[in-house]
Amino acid sequence: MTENVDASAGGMGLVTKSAAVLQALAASGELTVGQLSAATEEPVSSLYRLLSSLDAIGWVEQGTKRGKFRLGLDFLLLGSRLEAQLDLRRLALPELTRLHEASGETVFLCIRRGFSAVCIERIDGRDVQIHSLRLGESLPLGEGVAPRAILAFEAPEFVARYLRDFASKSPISAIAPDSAQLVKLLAETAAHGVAVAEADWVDGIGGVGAPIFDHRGHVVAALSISGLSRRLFSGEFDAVALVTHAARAVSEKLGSDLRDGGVDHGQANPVAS
Amino acid sequence: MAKPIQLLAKSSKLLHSLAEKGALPISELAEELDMPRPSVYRLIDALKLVGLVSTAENGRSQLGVEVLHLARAVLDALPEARAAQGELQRLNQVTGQTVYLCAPRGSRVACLDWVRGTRVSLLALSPGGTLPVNAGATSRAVLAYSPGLLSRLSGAPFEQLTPKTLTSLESLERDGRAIRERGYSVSNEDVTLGVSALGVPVFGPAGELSCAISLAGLTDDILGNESEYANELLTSSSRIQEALKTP
Repeated sequence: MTENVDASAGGMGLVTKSAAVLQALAASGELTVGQLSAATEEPVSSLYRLLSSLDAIGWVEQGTKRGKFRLGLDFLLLGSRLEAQLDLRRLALPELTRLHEASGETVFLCIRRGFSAVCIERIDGRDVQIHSLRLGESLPLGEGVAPRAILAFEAPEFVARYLRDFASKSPISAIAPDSAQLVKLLAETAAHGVAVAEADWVDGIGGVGAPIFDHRGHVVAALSISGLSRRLFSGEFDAVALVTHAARAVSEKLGSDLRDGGVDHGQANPVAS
Repeated sequence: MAKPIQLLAKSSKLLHSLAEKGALPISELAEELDMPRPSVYRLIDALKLVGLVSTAENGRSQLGVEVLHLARAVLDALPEARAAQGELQRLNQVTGQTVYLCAPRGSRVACLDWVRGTRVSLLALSPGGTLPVNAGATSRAVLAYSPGLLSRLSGAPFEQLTPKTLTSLESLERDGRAIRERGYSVSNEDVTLGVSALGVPVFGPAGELSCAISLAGLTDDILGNESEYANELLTSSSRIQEALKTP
């Protein structure tokens, strides 16, 4: 790190070095300059100067103990602004369109509101007889594949509350007439990462739904496909793979880190797994 | 050309421009940063390489999702944020109001985390943002329980955010005594007109002030439920204090 670098290789190296410091702190919480030096392979002397610059712009701050550093609060501000910019519907639309084009079936995007899942986007396929879940309409979380894909990945306390307060009214749904049946279905959904109904509600209509996660690993939505079961599962296309892939793509746009594997099943609730 | 500190300052400014305005074209960033376009291109390339910036569908630059990972890591590294998370959720579920976790930073009080209520668009404070110590429920709870802070800051004038903001040393001293008697602070439209909040302090294992939590919302909703909300806050505060003892 020299005093006068132009904004070419040397100057940009500074951005890379800073990012290495941020990464090391993100991985470990609080570190001393010595520990940071070991993690980033930068000499201690140059790290001191770098850290004072990073402190000045709010990217790092002093930790709880003297001589330790941690990430700065500026990332909270940047993160909350980016979160507000990441409009789920806009981000999901290209994936929903792709899913619709690959299958020709009806696709849905749902978010949770209380104990229901609300449809916030829908592209109609060839089966016009699918009347349920129009835009803005909702279904109880125990019914339909998209709602179930959300419920299966909610916190265990929430699932327990749903079963107690809402699902105690029987029948819960056409496919899960009692709560034991629903718990079993949720377990399957959590284990496979996807909700499948070969003939879910009525008239031989089936569906596949998969959860969408945010950067915290929380389930925020689900997307699904519905159509005549005989066509959906005919082997013409792989509905489960298409839906899973589309949901993953949206999760990644939301900053979900699916690489660490701690999202899909880590969030699965014990009630269901 | 840019010295290290300048280059990092430009990087920070660039990220803030994208945070405030969303995706931007290079031309607009060059203007915002007062840098020649080729330099902006190189800076953006470097920031893209480390994930802080990404390319939007229309070729513009936007904040990268790495920012979200770092934001999560900030909270993971703060013991008070880890200890409070469950209680912030609980308070939101019980009251429906916006719940804040704030902690002193320098001469101000910074928002670390929040759980949003229904009328969130009215609220001036969000994570990473700060308020002066004399305005807001968490600020004044922090001030009331930080011995010496008031006299240390009284050299410079206190900020006046609304006509109801306390700005004199005497009024703030009186407010501090009232807060210590009651156990919680009342922010009656001293940050935003129409918005009120109740705040309580949270102490660390050694008895020092660690942070503060608050419930914020429309004045009628908050002040109309003052005793109930204050009790919920005090319950949460003592639970967070317990959690801080066992890291």
